[in-house]
Amino acid sequence: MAAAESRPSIRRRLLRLAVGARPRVTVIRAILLAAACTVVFRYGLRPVRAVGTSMEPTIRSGSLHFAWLPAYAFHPPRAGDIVVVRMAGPHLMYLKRILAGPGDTIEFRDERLRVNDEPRPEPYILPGGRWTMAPLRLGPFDYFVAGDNRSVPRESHVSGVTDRTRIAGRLVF
Amino acid sequence: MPRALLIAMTVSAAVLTAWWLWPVPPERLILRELGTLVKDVAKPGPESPVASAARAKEASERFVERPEIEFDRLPGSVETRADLAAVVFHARAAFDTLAVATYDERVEVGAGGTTAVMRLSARASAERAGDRETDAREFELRWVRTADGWRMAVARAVEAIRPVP
Repeated sequence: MAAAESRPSIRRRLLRLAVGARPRVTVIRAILLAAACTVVFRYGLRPVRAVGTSMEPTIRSGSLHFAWLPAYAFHPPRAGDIVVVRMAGPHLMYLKRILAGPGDTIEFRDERLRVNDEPRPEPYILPGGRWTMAPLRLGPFDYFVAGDNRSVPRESHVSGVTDRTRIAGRLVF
Repeated sequence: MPRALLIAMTVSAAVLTAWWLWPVPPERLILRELGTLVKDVAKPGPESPVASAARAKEASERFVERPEIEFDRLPGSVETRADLAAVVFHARAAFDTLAVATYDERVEVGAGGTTAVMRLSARASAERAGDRETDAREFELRWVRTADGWRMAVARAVEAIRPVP
């Protein structure tokens, strides 16, 4: 009987489970965790949800990914990278692949991508796209970006030239 | 009447009067107008042509009489508010559902307080016969203060990705 009486009540045990043995330490931990999450997700690894089919088959509509925002802090974006292109702010961005960078000449001829007049293999697209585009030389800060879904006519697909300042980060997974 | 109740009522009345008289910042008024426009453009489901025309007219009333609109997805040319109402009406009729959401709105009010520039991103999603279409764009909207309130004078799509012809 004495042993049963010394047990903490259910309410006390639940409270201890929720806030721990030392509530002050728990609160400080929670604040630190919230601050760390804010910094990481705002300035580092930003979660992005794909909407639309322009990056299929690589990225399905509705899937969740992460963009690494400081990816280009020390080196410029590279052809082949999947990047997020900023619009008015961070809450809505384009998800595109870089096909060519500054100074390159890009064209779509015979349904194939050519950069600097050399065919560039694109293992990530499905066969059947019929894009054509006359050669275009990119400026010193320009990048040509497009989605992987080439079954959509080029005219109704958001693709084209964006500048370096618009590229907010690289998709990591 | 108890003294405490009298004090509470006086304080509440003072707070309500201050809240009522306090000028609403132009940024908030503009955001309110934008919110109304977004609601008027949206079509959650089937509706009668009369209701659709009324909503289109209400949407067009958020603009000045002769707005400048630069947006390549607009199904028709727009020179007057009536043209705009017709375009909105046809766009709503073309889809079963239509939803518009805006993000990252940033408003800068001019020095005189009669003009403002707004930057925002917008996403429209529409459904027609089971097919869903989405489009996202950045816009620059120029607003002017009129006797009827803040009205949109210029709406221009900003190309974050410039299309190549």
